Amino acid sequence: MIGGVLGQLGGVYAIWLREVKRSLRDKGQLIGGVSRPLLWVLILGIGLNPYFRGEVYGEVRFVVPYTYLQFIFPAVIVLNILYTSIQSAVSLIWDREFGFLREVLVSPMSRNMILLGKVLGGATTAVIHGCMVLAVARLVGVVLTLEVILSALVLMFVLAFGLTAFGIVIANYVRGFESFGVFSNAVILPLYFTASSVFPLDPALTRAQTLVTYPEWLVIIVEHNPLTYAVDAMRGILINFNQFDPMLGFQVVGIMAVGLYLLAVWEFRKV
Amino acid sequence: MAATTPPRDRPQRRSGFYDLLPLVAVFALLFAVSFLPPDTSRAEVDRLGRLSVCMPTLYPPLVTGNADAPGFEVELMQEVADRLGWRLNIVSNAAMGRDFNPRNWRINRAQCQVLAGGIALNTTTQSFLDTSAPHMVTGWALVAPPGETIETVESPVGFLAGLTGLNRIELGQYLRHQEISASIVNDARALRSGLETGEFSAAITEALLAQQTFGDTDYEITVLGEPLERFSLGIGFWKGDMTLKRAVEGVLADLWDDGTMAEIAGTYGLDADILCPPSATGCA
Repeated sequence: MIGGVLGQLGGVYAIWLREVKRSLRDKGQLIGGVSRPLLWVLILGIGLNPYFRGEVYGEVRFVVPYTYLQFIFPAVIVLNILYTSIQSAVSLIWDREFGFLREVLVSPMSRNMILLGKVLGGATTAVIHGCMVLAVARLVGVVLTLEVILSALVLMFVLAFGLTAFGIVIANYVRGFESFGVFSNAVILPLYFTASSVFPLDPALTRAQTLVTYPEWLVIIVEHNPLTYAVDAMRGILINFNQFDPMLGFQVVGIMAVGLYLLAVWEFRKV
Repeated sequence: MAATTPPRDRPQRRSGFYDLLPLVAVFALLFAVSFLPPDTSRAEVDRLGRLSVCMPTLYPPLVTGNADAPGFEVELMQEVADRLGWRLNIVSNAAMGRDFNPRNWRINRAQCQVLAGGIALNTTTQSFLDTSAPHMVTGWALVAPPGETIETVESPVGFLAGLTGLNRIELGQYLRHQEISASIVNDARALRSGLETGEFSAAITEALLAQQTFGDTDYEITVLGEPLERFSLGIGFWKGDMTLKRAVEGVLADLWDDGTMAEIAGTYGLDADILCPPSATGCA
């Protein structure tokens, strides 16, 4: 029995390793992982930074006690994880297209273990892509201590795990490579932009004031987007700034990861 | 003779090292990018050769107005400017340290690159400014005749807000809880004369200012403890001026390391327990 379990774990490892190696050899994915921090942090962040800085002392120009560059930095990490996690599920389409998935499915491994290997592989790659953004922390002025890095890595992994499972659910419905790319972008960008990633809902405002500042529909979308809480938790870790209860972010990300993985387990039965 | 098929070349296994090479290159590229200057704030000061610092006209011991001993933070900024090869230009602002509403100070980016002379580090200040790590800590102090405590003093007490950013609401709640009413004054001289003439039974103000204003008297100065919090002081930079902040913070760290900070503090009689060396955890 132990041999059987170890065999299954060996299989999970093999699938994980294949996913990770495939991602590392995929130059397009690597270029995407680099271009996002460069575009979002270097160009957008530095470009917009002066418009959010104070010119007159006492006159609030930007509602958070950080620079705009520091404000969007954690969100760019989440963006890199979001893209990589969901895109990593494209391997499912590849495997299905070229018959590899059938070979794996007829192996003695259980479907759940095959799924676990794929999700872990995608999550690992996404964490590596999240770390790429951390590499420019010095430019942004975010101080990375060992404690901060470890906390960020744990959050990144849990988030990536859930989002990779979500990608697999999407891949199960979308059969072609091209449509997967278009569909995933249609999911990723709205999720990202409504996650309080590029503008904050000011925590100093009451709900009534927030509704005066922003249209109600936007506030509702932002508050109901689980990624909002992931970005908020990442900000809490990296720049010690939270718009919501600091624990709420970790709870939402944890529940999201478990929920999406269970959904992926359900969907993977139909593969 | 039977024909033999030539042995097929076995596909060579690619080493995992080669798989990692692009990843290493990517991280190296991004790490190199992180050394790009994110703004022009330091380059601008370098170009002018002058660092302008907005400070209150008088806020002893941080700014004394005395040419021989100009104040702790004046000397600190002078040392920073000297080490970075800049001239120091003090822009005195009479409203700083007196008017608690920073809007009325009318300080803007064109006047100075740095704010000093009593910048309390808290969320309020940091929503306007980027700040250095704290270099000293202060709080609210009670100045009263010997033997009197916050529990025994009678109303009214004189009150001078002092630094901007101190939590006056918290202090107000505390005083109401102690059933003490406070009379607000606008400068240290009025606070002292009010206490000496008996207009006030005691005075409450920021601890550093209390020490400088009443240090030569027989009054007893007590820093008020829980539930009132203590406040860290540091240097203020305009938001986004990261290159300037890094340069100044680098020199401040050097000043701690070589003992210059403690030496300057000693000149002004600042006790070691109110200083916040970079290793201190209680000041952050």
